[in-house]
Amino acid sequence: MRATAQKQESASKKGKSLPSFVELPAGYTLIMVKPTTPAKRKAAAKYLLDNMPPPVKKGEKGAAQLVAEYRRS
Amino acid sequence: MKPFVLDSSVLIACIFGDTEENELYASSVIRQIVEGNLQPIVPQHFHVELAEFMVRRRRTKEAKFGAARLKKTMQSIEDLGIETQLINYVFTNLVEWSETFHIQAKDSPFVALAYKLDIPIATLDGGIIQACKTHGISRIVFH
Repeated sequence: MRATAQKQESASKKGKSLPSFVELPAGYTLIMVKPTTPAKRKAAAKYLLDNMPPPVKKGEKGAAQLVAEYRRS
Repeated sequence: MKPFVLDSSVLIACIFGDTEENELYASSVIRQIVEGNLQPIVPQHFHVELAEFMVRRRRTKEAKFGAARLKKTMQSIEDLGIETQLINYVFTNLVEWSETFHIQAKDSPFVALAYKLDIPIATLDGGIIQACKTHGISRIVFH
């Protein structure tokens, strides 16, 4: 009985520590950002830009069009 | 750093390829982030869309988007320092925003966030571009 109660209390505590958007009062936000550095940002951008695929050919669907179709599906 | 809402269409265009014009736009946005001129802010729905497109592309088993590339791409996006604003919304808010801005429900968290914070948005989505024009929301443009 005692062990069960402890488990429940532990789960309850865990639940309380989880950020939940539905528990935030309307109009309030919770902000999350992964720490980074200018050097990391620069390296990240370099990787993304260096690996950007060649532009799609005329008549082919680009990513933005696929996103628009996904959103309208 | 000027805050702006980053629509997932911009990063998806950068990762998976788009027209020359759209790729130029996406690369300009990324350069402005690195130069410290722009601070990207996203709603939580951004992560769903980005993940959706990555998972889809992996399932097509394209050689150019293998496990190593996926891992490096995800790490790079994380290192851009994108700020996620967990807005308090439920389906009724999404419906209301969609009706207000005349957009799809999946577009609405991006537009509502820009409107709420009164900041510009970077997007390649035609529906969002039109909503910005109609409702006085600035779109990041480059000359």
